[in-house]
Amino acid sequence: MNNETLLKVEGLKKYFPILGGVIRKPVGWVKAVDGVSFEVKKGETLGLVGESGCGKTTTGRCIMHLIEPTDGQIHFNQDGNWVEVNDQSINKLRRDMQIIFQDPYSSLNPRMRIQDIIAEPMEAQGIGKNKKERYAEVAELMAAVGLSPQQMRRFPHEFSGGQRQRIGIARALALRPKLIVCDEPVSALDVSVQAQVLNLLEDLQEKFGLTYLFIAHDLSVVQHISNRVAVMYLGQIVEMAAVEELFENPKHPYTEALFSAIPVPNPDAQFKQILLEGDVPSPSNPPSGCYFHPRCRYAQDICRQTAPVLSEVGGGHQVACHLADQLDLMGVSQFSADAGA
Amino acid sequence: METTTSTLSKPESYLKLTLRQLGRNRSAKSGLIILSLLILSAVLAPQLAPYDPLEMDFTVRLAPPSAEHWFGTDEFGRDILSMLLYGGRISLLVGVVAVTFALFFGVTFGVLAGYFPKLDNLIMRITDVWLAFPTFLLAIAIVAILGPGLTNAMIAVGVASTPQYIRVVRGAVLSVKEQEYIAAAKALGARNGRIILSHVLPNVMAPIIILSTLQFGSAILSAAGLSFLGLGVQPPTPEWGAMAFASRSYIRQAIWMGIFPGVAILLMVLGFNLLGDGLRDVLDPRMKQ
Repeated sequence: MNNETLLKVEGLKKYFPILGGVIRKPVGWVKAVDGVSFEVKKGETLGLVGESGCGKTTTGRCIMHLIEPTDGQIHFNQDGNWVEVNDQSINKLRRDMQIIFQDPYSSLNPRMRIQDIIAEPMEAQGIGKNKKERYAEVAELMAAVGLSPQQMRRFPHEFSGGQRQRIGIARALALRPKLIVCDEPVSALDVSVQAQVLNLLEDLQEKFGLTYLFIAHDLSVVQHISNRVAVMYLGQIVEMAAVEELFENPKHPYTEALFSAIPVPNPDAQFKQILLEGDVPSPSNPPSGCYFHPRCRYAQDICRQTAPVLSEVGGGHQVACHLADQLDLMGVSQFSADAGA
Repeated sequence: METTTSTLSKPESYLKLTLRQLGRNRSAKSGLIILSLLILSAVLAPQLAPYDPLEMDFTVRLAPPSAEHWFGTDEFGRDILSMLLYGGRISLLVGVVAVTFALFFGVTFGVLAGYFPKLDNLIMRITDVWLAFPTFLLAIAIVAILGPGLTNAMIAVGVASTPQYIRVVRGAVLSVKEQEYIAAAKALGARNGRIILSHVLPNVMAPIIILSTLQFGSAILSAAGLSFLGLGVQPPTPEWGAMAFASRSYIRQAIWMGIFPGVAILLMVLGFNLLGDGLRDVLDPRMKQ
């Protein structure tokens, strides 16, 4: 890993309109992503965690330009040149940026053979002289993701979930991209298959020099694969740090609460869970001040009035909390140690 | 690499595979048999027909089925079997032309409306107005404008059944469009035309095929209705629907005049329905072993 930045996201916003009335005009906005900024360095894996509906997937899809962002800039480092991701540039950037989807069942066209699914990126981008050449490449890609090239003429329904996810990975690799957005690639798989696919992703990262933006809600998965982790809550990044730093020394009360929810494999454990009260507020009508204050057990007056900004607290550790330097929060090992005691 | 080269050998074409599966599907097979018999008899009508279908013989008016006239004769002494054989040509032609017409325009506008949200409102509001007219009434109005005759009747039936295709296709496209493989195709840089042709259309085939089989039957019936009103096929050209309608005044004396054309229509509609059901199963690769 070097220090070159590959992707820069600045002030990304995506508001979805709530349409009402006969003429379907917007009566409100769902702020799915509300001012997200981060950078991804070449060769690293940035984990993006948060609960359902916090805007992780929307962020990933905005980066791939599958949905148009409401505001903010996304820049991609294409061989030393910063290219803004927009309608004009996106088609050239597709070769460098790819995405792996969450659901291995709906992400493969049931009417296409595997060879055509994996060859499609090359066909769409005009790579390879003819079908034969592309199919030869498909066979190589299938071998690279651990599938037998003899199965290339089969249809998706003839494969298991884990195999289908491997097909999705092979399709994403076909253009030899530099960045792959992994949109919860293992959350639809069972645990033993999850491990295989994660190991495959790590092997491929080494082999092809890939950079991952790894979106997930499973903290242990993120801890395993990421170099750095960003925690999202209600469309905003609340904390971002290197993986060991974040897991051992969280600075945001929401991160702490997430860690307390990681199950400990000990039946006698006395759980010391931090139960968050209430539900996630509606992203169409977020609370004042810090979005997390209604559920935060440390909340003070300032949290209700002013929104904290994401700021550096040393060592590349960024957090959006007014009380970051006052609180002494528990890391993952403390929770499991306490639980074991 | 030996294994990979063997799999790279020319793959069996999709059509061939489908036809092989079709032979294994019992409902499709019965449908195919019925339809091939009907089509064959229509094509070979000049060879098969025992009499000239237009030849009147007043000595055998309203004759019951017999050795000379297997299906009996009508009020002018024409041989019903011969009329049915020739009439099959008209009915098949009407079905094919009207359904193809509706299929082409219905699928085109349905896909446009479902795929491009900006066109959706415009196309669907027009379709709603179109659908508000009963199919048959609309067909009558169109023939009234264009003038009676076989060609105009076929166009009228086609136009009148187009909005149903638009609705069905749009609905199917809307649901397919939300699938992740569409997002995946966009992410790898496929253009709209490619996405529509290779991802959307193959996945909306099933409802289109089912609808077409149903439309085939109703197109034949609508055309028959138009003939009855004197707006479609002009007498003395034999046509199943017209024959069935003409029989109504003689239902007490000569029941065979109505029964045989009715059975012919029934067989043809049944054949298309069986074939459509079988095709749906075969075209769905999840059913393939």
